[in-house]
Amino acid sequence: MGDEHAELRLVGRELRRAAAEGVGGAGPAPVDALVRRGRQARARGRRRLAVGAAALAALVVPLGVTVAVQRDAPAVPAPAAAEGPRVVRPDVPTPIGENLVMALRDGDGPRYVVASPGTFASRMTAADYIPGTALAPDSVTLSVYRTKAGIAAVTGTWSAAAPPSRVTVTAGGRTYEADLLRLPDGGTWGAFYVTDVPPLTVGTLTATAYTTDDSPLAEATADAG
Amino acid sequence: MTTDAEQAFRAYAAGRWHRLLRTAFLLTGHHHDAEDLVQAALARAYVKWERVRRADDSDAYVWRIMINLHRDRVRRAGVPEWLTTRFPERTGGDGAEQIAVRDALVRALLRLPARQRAAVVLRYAEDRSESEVAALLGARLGTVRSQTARGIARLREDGALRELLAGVAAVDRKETVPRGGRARGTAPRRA
Repeated sequence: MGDEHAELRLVGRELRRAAAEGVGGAGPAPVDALVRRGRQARARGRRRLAVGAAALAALVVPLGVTVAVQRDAPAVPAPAAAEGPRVVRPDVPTPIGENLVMALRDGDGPRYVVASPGTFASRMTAADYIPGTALAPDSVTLSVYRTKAGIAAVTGTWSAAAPPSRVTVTAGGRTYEADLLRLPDGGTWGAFYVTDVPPLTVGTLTATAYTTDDSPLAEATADAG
Repeated sequence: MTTDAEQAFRAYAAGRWHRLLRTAFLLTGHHHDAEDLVQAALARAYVKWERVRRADDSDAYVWRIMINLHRDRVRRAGVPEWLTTRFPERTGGDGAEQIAVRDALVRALLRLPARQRAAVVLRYAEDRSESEVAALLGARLGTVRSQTARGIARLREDGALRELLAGVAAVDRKETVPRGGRARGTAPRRA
């Protein structure tokens, strides 16, 4: 028992040291930026409340009007495999697979949301509080979107001065061409997705971005399990 | 927000920044992600600042925001985002053995499920009581006990603890002061 306590104290001490070293170079709190961000989040919350109220009111309008609104809805049709990234509008759900949409967020670093249409609004609200990951130049990130049925999509982001010509995802010994999305003035980042991967539970997934001359630009791997 | 409230928030953010960063580093494993997470948590605290101020324990409220944000982020991602450059960064300071051992421990920590990781970090790195951890995680005491026990068990299975103990033993041997000599093998720990 004494040994175990000593061991746990040691774990605590080493974790504290690791944390102190890990953030040792951090500067002071960016207080002005935090306040600005807090104000923006508060304003977004108010706007969303207003939109929610408007949507509730819309439920009582005649069906014809509802159809017209749906026609005007900014959802983008599912694409065929494209050369280079497809430009999408910020915060607009783009269908990427069966019962699955993706939206790219603008501002505040690279961010995107993947959700079913039914949960999209709540995911967008939650994403207001999630900052973008600081991406290194010439890098890719890799994520897996799961449902109860298994992997529904492999998604990620790329960061490069010039958009990659293509991104591939290798899973279960096969390589899939990803579809690429970017914002109109998305700067140096964009997102990609593949929705027809097998329902892997083990193994490694690899995403590789390629330059326009088809040289590998960046690669990321993750465990499927 | 009133000017007084905003001043209070500014003072709070400046005062807690580094402490929050250290916790966030152990949750995320990378200092950029840690900064992102703390910024998101503090921005949310700003939105709910009146509730934070009224809370019996403001720190517990903000830490809880941060832990929940991290959990949501991991859950939404399915698996963590893996960057090609994303590994715990070290800038030197300690001996190579200690750095390697600590890296192994942090990597093993990052392999724990988010909930277990948070329990281990709060309980052992932050030295909080089981009751405090339960309050921060919004979990029962028994759940906290089982989460920390499972987390530590998985660290043992991972070999991280064995490496840690062996590494510290090796460093301790190096640190032994010879007669008339001075300790070697370690450098002063950075603040």
